[in-house]
Amino acid sequence: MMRKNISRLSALALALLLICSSTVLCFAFSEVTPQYAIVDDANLFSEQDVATLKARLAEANAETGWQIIIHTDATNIDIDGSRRKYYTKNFYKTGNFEEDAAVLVFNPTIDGGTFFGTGDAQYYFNDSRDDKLKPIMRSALDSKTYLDGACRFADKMVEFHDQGSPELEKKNNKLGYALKHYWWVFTLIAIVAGAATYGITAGKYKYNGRFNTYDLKSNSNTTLTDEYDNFVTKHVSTRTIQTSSGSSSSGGSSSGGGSRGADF
Amino acid sequence: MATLNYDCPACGGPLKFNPDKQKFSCEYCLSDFDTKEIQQLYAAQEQKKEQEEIDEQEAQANPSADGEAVIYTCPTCGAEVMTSATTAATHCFYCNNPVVLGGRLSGENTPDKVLPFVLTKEKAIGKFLEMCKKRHFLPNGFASKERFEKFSGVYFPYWYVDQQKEAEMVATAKKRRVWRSGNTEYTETSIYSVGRRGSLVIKNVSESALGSDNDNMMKESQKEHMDVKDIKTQADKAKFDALKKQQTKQLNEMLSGVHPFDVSKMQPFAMSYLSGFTAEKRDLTKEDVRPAIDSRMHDYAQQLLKDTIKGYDSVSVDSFDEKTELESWSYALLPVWVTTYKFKDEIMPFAINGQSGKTYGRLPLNPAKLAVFSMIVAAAAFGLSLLGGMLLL
Repeated sequence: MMRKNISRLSALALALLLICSSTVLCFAFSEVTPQYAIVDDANLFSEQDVATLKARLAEANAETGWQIIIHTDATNIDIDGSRRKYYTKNFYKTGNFEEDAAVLVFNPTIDGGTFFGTGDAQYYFNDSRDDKLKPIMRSALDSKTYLDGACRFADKMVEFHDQGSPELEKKNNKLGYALKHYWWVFTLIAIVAGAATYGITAGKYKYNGRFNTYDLKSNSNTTLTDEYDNFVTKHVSTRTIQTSSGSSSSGGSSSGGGSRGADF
Repeated sequence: MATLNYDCPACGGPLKFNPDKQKFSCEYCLSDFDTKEIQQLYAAQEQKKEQEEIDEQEAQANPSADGEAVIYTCPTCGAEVMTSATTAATHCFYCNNPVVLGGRLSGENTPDKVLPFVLTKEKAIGKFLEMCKKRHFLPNGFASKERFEKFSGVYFPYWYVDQQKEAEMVATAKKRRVWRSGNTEYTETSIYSVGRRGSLVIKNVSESALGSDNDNMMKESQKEHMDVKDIKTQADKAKFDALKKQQTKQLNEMLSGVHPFDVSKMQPFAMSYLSGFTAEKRDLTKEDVRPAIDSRMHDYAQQLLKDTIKGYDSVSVDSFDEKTELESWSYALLPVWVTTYKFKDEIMPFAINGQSGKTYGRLPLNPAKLAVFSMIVAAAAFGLSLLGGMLLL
């Protein structure tokens, strides 16, 4: 009798476990649209969270034109090096995402995450902007306020977009960029060239034929009767050359796998 | 004033030296005569005229001072014509026949050498127009043959000096060697004491022997601006003196600017070469030009010894001594085609070397034309620098 009861309890517990498991699995959410993508593999968002998030991401997309991707991951992985590179290669590139995208990844299991931009969006990420975004995302991860973190990420993408990207501007419109940023250099060169042309030409008119009137070489003869070249002393001076290798950029902004961003 | 005409032995017309043929030509019967032939024919007459000039000067209690006008009688038409005191050959202003004032170039004023004209007036104008073609910013209508028809061939007096010197120089010379090791650049400077002694021969250093305002070009220029008779007040005199000073400077610049001449083509002086041209006698003595000659000789000697110090990156002269061993001076007449032109109230002299065709003289400029061109260059520079900038981005 006792054994039967134990068997029933075990079966009930197993059934409950299965029911609970199936309930948890049904909360995992994934939706990919051209405007946004939510891949909640770690089940961090409720249905209501997802609804809120969808609206915010769609708004951000309308402002930026980038696909905003929020990915939660529970995989316990040992990433040697940059998480940005890992998720670019193993998540972004394997999924059916847009080329211009801003990606946020939370992984509570390894207590870390990353964000990055791809395509044109990557040019809006730089050291300064990454450094401001990192503590916000870190704070969201630490306080487990993932929805708030994702919404603020979307807001920041709009902000980055509004701030513009000189690098992208340079890439897409070299003429406009050069004129906008270096117009004074070109103007200075033009003024110098114009003034030199005027001055040299006017000088040629004013001093026409005034020079080279005596050819010393053809009118002279030198016969040396004594000559000496005595070494007196020598000295050596040194100078340290500054090389450009010391000014390499920090890891946060270095390119890799076609994305730019930072880990947190 | 004793004058001399070189008449054609065939027809009696005036003879002129023809630079193209290097012979004397008669414009009337078209005969040509060798220089030797004419020189022999007129040698006795030249001597006679020289003596007449000397006698005339001795007879005059107050001979004409340089700088004042002198009256002579044209041997062809008998007209009285004024000329400046230094003019040694000219044309009669009435009959336009060439006249040589033989006495001006006699005695101590006899030149040692003369370089006959090689370029005719037409060729000189041609050279001038050729030069103008290369100058794109001249005022419209400036480069016309008509404008420069008044080019006149003038023999200008120059002193030519050759010197042989013993010179000695001590200098400090430096050699630099630069190499890199890692991030360090090393510069090794080796210092040498260098000495040179030698014998130097410097030839054909020339200075104009015309120092005052009494040449044809200056007269022309003064006519345009101011004449002696215009001086009435102290202010007028100051203005006249300033003008004279500026014109003398212009003249000296012009006389040095037409160089170089190929002096190996110089001939022993003969009065007959001047026929058909204007000539000026010198009014500066050796002693007048010696400071300028000595200064140039000193610089040249130093340069010659310095040029023998080779293989160094820099040479600075510590001491230099020189002693002139031999010196030779000669007084030569050199051929120059000269004119003045007025442009925007400014008198501009222009000269062409009568041997080589080298042009000298300030040219008028059309500032608007040049400004437009400069703006085009500036725009091109802007475009090119923008293109370069885009490639570097």
